[in-house]
Amino acid sequence: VKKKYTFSSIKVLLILLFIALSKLTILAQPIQEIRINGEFRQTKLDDFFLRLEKDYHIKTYYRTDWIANQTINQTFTETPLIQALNQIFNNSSITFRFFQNNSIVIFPKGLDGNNTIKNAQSEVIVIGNKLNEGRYASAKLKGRILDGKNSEPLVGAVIFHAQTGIGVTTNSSGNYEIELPTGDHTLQISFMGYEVLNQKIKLIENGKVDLELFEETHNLEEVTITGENNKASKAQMSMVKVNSRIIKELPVMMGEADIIKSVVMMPGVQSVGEMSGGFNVRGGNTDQNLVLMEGAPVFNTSHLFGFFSMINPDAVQDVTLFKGGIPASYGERVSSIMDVKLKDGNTENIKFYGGIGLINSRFTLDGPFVKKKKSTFVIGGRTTYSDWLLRQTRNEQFMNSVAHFYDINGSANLVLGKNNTVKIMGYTSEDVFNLNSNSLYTYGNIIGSVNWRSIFTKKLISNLNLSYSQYDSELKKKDSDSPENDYILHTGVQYGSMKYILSWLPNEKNRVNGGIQTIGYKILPGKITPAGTPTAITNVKIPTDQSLELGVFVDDDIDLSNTVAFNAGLRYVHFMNLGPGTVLNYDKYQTKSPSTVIDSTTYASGKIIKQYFGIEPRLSFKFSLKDDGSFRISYQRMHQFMNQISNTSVMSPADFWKSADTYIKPLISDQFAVGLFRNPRKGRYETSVELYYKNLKNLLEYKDGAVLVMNKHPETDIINAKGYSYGAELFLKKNTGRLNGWLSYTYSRTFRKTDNTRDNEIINKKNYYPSVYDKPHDLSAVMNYQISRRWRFSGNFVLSSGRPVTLPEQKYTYDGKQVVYYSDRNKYRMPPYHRMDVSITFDENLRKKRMWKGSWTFSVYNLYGRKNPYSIFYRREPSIQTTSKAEGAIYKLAVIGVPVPSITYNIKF
Amino acid sequence: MLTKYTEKLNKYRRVMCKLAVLLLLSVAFVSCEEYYTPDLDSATSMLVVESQITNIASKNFVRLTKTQDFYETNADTKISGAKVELLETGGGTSYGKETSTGYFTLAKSAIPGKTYTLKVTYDNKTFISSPVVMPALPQIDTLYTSRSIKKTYEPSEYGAPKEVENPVFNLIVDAPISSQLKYFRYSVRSVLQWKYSPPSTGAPLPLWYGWKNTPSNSTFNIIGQGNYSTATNKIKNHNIQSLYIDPYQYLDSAALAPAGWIEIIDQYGITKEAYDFYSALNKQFVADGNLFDPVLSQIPSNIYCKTDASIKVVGFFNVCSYQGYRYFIFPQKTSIFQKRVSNSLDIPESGYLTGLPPNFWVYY
Repeated sequence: VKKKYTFSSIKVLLILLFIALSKLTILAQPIQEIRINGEFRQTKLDDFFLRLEKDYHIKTYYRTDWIANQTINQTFTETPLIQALNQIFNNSSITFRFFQNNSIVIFPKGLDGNNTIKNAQSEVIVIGNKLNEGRYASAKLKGRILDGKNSEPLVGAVIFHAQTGIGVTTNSSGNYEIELPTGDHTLQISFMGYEVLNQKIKLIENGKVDLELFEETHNLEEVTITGENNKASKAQMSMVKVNSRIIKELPVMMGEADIIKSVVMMPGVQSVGEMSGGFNVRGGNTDQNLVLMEGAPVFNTSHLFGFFSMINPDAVQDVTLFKGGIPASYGERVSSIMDVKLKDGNTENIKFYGGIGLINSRFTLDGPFVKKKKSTFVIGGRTTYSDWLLRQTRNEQFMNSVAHFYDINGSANLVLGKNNTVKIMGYTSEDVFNLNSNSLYTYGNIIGSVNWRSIFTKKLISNLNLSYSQYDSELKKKDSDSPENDYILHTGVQYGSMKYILSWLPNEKNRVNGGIQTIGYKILPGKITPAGTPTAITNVKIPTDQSLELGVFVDDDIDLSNTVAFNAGLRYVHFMNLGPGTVLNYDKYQTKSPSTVIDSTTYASGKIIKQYFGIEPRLSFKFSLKDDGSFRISYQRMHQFMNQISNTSVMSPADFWKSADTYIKPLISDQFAVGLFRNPRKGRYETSVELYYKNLKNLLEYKDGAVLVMNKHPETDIINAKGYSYGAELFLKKNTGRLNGWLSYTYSRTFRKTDNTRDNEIINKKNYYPSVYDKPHDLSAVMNYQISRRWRFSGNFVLSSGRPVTLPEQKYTYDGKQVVYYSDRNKYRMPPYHRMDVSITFDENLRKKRMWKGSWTFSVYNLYGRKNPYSIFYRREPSIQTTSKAEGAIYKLAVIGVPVPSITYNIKF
Repeated sequence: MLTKYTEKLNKYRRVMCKLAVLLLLSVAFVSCEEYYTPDLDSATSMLVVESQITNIASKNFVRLTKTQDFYETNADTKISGAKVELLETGGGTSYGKETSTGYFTLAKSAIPGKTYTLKVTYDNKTFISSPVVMPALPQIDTLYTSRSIKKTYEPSEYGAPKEVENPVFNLIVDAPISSQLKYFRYSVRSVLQWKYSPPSTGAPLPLWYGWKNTPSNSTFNIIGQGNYSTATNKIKNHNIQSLYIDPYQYLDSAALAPAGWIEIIDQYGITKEAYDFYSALNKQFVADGNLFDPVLSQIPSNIYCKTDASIKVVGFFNVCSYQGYRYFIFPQKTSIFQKRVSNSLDIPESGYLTGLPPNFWVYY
């Protein structure tokens, strides 16, 4: 009883002491830094404490029975007191605390609830020199969180310290930095689909620790803490982030991971159709999405008419898609911004990643320029052997087809001192294909960017981005009857941009970004050249179209209180269509056509032909709710000065871009969105509901029978339209456990209308009609199940409403031939689209020391062989491929009508 | 170490290639096209005006019918009792004569350079066309033949498309263009002559002289001054007909001996609007729902309802100039014989005479 009483008394005493400590003013020289000198050979602790009192005026409080018969055998020379005491009490059953900067309290370990004796089975990582234990009040812990299987950095992993509530996430290189009080802690490290690691550490001073997570194989009592992405505003909503791991785990066609096919599984993002390039965000056209690769735009995002995305999945770190609440630093397109970040490269050693697929292979090499130095590189590429395989089929139709592509990407991440980093990226690609037709498509991208990040002070950071993107397309039209009429149609666009952002962080609750951006466009709308000799074709070129876009922006991200965050931004845009050029002036009382031209105006090089200005407010609010939830609301206005001119429902490589000009006005979008976000069960689940309404002005529509290719004055075939979209997006995601994945459902509508009164400019009697991308229901389900440490199963299911189509409603005879009369535009709808894909992955070996690491992925695309319609059309005569035939009937074409199995071998060494 | 990895890679590559070929063979049958019958709304019938006014009165006609619901299986509904007028700007009016239900002939020959308007009165409504200027008379500068290989597809034994190559001969024309005439339509009727010597055990039986039409083209053969053409004063190298060199592709029996082709060529000078109209029809005829097909659109018309603008009319008022030609073509092993022949005699669609050839018969 006496002992218990004694211990309780000491606890009370200690508590009082600590309270007192916290209120005391710190003296000039902290007690722990007092330098101790002396040789203590077989000296009793009692004597040592007396010496401290005598020489340094430090009093020591203790119970004599705790230190009875204890001696020390040390020599101190200018040794800080803290280090001296640590040396003495290391491996001892007693420990110490300083008191009032002039005293020391000695007591047995375990009495303060903090400095506990370690469990023998726990692995504790000690950060810092034990001799410095207690020397610092706090310390910074840095390091990387890695995938234990392949040592790839995990982006967005959460490091959480429960006692203080401090949590951070890893950045795009997998790095983290957290500042904690020194002492013993347990850090919880979590990442979706990985076992949560409860890592015990003893933090003594600043240090670095790399930690590894392994994919989940057991049901554990995990705690996942979600952190705010440090780049996005705290009030950010309508944002989708997909990391490289998710991209690679989804089952895909021909076993090739694909960033766009991953993103379309998210709410509000829809695929154009089976095997089609591009995607639709909240009912927007495909050209309303700006896809940025390290800040440089990608004008054509697909290989092989939509089979694959342009970007090598091995090189991708993560993909962020803004559907709404777009930060003021972004502009150019009205529907979405997809920001693709490529890997920085690992700093440890050179690593090779690759994959051998059925129709293509890929490789990526990354590592430091100098081993264990910070500057790194990544280089990768992909190519296909589909040409060779097509010939092996012995099918004449396939043998006469061409289909191949390659892409090469490279980047160098240069760390220039402590405060400057420069990332240089380059990318090139080429596609060539025809499918047994007289049209040979060749197209490619050349993209480059330089990103220079400079830290002036801890509160002032700058980012300079220089980017260049070039897209060229060639369509070689062969005329088998008269080869002299063979020609090549060239189209292209060149883009150069400079963007400078200055970020000022006056305090933790406020972040201000300001910057400028200038963009130059040069568009080749079309050029015809002969494709053979002799030729009856002459060179014809539509004059190039040049323009300049300026943007000035500022936004402020503020935490108004613990529950309210606010982001206000403003972007000013100024667009100039520049000469040389000739503008035709039309009779304003008549439809624009070559016959209604009154006169023309010619502009010299560099002269402004037409200019537009615009102010784009961006506002976002976040109201935090209890239990990790939040309610968010946003508004944005966006201008788009570049449109892809196309009257095909599927984007063609030969579609050309057109800037705003005298007649084609800039597309303007206003979007309101509200959302409710909850992360129940301590972040194990993510749920959200978002509602949006979007109003669009100056959309481009085309007159019936519009001729767009090589049209010197496309304004004669283009009609300005208006439209609106609205929808609701539901999202449920399970982040952890052996079984994880998500379910997303979107209800969305999008409509168009023309107000023109002239006969050939009226569409659907001036009533609203559904856009070709109006798909009201869209459901996506993604599931990953970790069967064991080496086997993983993935599956996804998509279900969406069919795309609107225009179908023949009536028929008549003309010159003995049956002719059909079509319904109002987009009056009917294709049958619903649904598909299930599955894959199973087997990792050959997970041993860390094994150099060669391989994995097999077996996947089946369209598991139950659904014949989803790619198009529905009227055909007078059935083709020989038609399975059931009728003259002058409606047909349904399914591109992929059977289950498509594939196998891929991925390697890393 | 590197050799080991290379060997491993090669091994995987070999396996993957085998699998890939197997997969592609199966994918060859992946895409499929099916007859599809969606529910379609029933719509109000519209007036269909098919008309042709030329410089040859016998070729002028106006045909009036009504549109039908898409799934209707009955024959076209012909319109009876309409009043058809052809108005010449600065000239008189000629009236259509209903020679059969819904079919009107017009005795007036149109004159190049004059402007014409079609007026149809039916069911107390007036339908009127845009005024159309008749183009100048067309000409064929040169007609010549060439040989080429035509690729077609047939189902293979596995049902997959199989390419078949056939040698063909082509009829090629050059035609001058002017500011009054830049667009043409060609309609070619190919009549294959054949002879048959019936087997006889006694005295020889009289020879049979037969002929038959080949199937007409499924699209309209139109040509205009090409935007990208080097030639500014003529249409060059325009193919108006392709026929198999092997005539047995058309004959029903190997016992029939081919005796050359009579090519009856109708050349029409058409307006830009008519060219666009035929071009739109052709696009509809050849649409196959493949990659990058343009969004479907209505066929343009130059006729509207004057009494009620909300009433839609389909069809076209086609004022075109006409010139007819007739050639005899006889493909040989290494050359193709051709000569121009009189085009005054009618040739029935098919038939034969015994003993004597028909009066239109052309000898090689």
